[in-house]
Amino acid sequence: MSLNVTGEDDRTELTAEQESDLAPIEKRWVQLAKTAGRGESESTLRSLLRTGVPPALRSRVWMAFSGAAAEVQPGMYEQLLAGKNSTRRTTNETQIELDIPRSGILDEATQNRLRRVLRAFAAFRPSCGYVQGQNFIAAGLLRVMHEEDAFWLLAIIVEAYLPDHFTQHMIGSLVDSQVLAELLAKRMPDVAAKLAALEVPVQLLVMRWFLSLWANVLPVPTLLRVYDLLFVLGPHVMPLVGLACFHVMRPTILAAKHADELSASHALQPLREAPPDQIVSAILSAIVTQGATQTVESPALLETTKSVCSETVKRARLGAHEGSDQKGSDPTTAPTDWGVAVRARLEEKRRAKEAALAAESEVRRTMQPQGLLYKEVNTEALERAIASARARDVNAALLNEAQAALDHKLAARLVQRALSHAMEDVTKEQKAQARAAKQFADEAAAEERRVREAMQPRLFGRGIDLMALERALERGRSQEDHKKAADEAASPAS
Amino acid sequence: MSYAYLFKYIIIGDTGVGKSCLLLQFTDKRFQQVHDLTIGVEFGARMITIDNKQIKLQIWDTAGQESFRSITRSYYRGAAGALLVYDITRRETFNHLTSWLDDARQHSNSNMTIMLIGNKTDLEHRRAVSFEEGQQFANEHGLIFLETSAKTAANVEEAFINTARRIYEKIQQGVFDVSNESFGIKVGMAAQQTGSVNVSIQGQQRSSSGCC
Repeated sequence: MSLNVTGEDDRTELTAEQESDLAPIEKRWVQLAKTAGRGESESTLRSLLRTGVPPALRSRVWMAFSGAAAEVQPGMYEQLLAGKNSTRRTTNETQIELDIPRSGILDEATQNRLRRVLRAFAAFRPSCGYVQGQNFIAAGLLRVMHEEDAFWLLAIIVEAYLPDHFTQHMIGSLVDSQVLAELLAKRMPDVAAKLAALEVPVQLLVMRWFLSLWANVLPVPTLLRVYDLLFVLGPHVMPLVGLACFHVMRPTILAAKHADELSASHALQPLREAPPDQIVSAILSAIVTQGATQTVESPALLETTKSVCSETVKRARLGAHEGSDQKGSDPTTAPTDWGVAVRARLEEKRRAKEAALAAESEVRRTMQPQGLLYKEVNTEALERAIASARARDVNAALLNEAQAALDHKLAARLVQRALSHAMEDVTKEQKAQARAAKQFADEAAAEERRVREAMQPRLFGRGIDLMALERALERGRSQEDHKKAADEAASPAS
Repeated sequence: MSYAYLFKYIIIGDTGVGKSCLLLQFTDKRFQQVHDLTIGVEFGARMITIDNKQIKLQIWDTAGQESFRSITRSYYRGAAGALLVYDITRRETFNHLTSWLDDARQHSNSNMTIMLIGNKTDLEHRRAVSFEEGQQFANEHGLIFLETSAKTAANVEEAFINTARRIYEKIQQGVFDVSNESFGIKVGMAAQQTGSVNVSIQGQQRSSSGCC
């Protein structure tokens, strides 16, 4: 490994020689960073994220996936730092000076970098300026990144991850806290009830989670792993990070007898002690169950979330209006052009991804019942599915991978079922049947893969190569006998 | 542990005046030279004794930066006492007191007891606001006043306890309807056992005659 962790060279293209020195997993991430993961299914990214982004590639990967790399304007950072003094600038800088020593960073060189990043950002977004919380986020990023990259990523975070959190009335913070509170009530009603009984508002606990993007909450090794998830998968993961934190804090909260046992220094202790893997896997499983639930009860859940959101925004704006005695325009309604453009681009990206995922799930739904696994390809259904997928411009690789993962799971389930029945009945014959079933399943999986490989290039080109399809299916049908054996083994012993 | 009363406090004032350090000194009896800045609202608690009664103080510690004001405002309402803190070495934190006071008066119940605190007396050589100025401001606005040092712990106990004593006196005088928790006061098991029912009856009469 020849890469520098806080790297000077982590912003440039790797030479072929450097790239060939990398471990396979690193090569994979370098490739992913080049396309910002376009065409990769979220499930692939999730499984890669279980082990985290290799430390030397973090900066590169975060920049690419968050969209920050695309926003970099060369020379802008220096220009911002060299800007003219003004009253506003002085106010920001006085505050920054006061906060630098209180940001959890002790060494002077890093403090200097932090100072420059925060000053540049305050100059870049004058309507928002420097607001506490940004210091922790920037300090977190500087543990991994070059200062100019940290600046651009901070800008993306404020714009796309924490919109309206750092504006005058912090509406974004109220909304995000409220949404998380609603989710908590749905997912962990016992925790929500306990907090209500102790009169501890959820907002009180979670505000700093959002405003520091967890930098003031999680220990550094965990923080970096969580940032891997946030930047690679996107802002929609934020409430799930919140749920995962509650999951880890759950025993402490349930055991508390008084509200003061839930002050930050106590309540957050479990998060500080939990191994990073535990928190990462809690987040990933929250994503999975969240996704699974959404397909079942999505309209209701989405409507709830949406109405909570708009209601909260309305309330917040109303409250802000009533309490507003400050002069000047309300920055929440006047984002800069830059912010608007970035949000629009990110929104577009999100929509494209959603469309792709919807198409993918439709393909699955249509194909699954008459699944390839059972050797009777419903060519019509297949064609319909593929046509609809193609209409939505689904990336072939994405589709293929998702399908393979799904079928793999089906095959595995079949094997498992057969084996578990075999375990119940210990007669040799049944064991043999189970083995046959396993063999069948393996062969079926292999055959299916061959079918797909033969079909794939053409399916997504002009049309289906029916000859290849027929040939492949013929081979599959010849294994009909195995299938029967498997079915027998799979049916419960009477 | 059971208490006779629970009082809710809120600590307010400009950023960096030492609000969190005062709280830490009071609850944990220690001082942190470098204390992470507070985002949003934190809280702590401690038991004290007044007039042989156990009183629990539950204290909300708020972020001082201007942007956080609309958030922290919602915590004024349920508070019985407020510690309004400035830094004796930074004049501007004293200059902002009026705006803090307006905020507190506007968003709290009218009987909230406010203690003005000039913090950081350990930095006497850098003093920018005299004791007399602080005292005068307090007199003009009807506040109790103390100068403290969260670092040396000077007057920290007094700041929290004198405020509690004042609130306790008001209860004795029947200023509050203590059964109404929006005043930031809760009656505990211990008080009910020792028969402070009188207080609450008195309080109810008062409140129905329109003290708020």
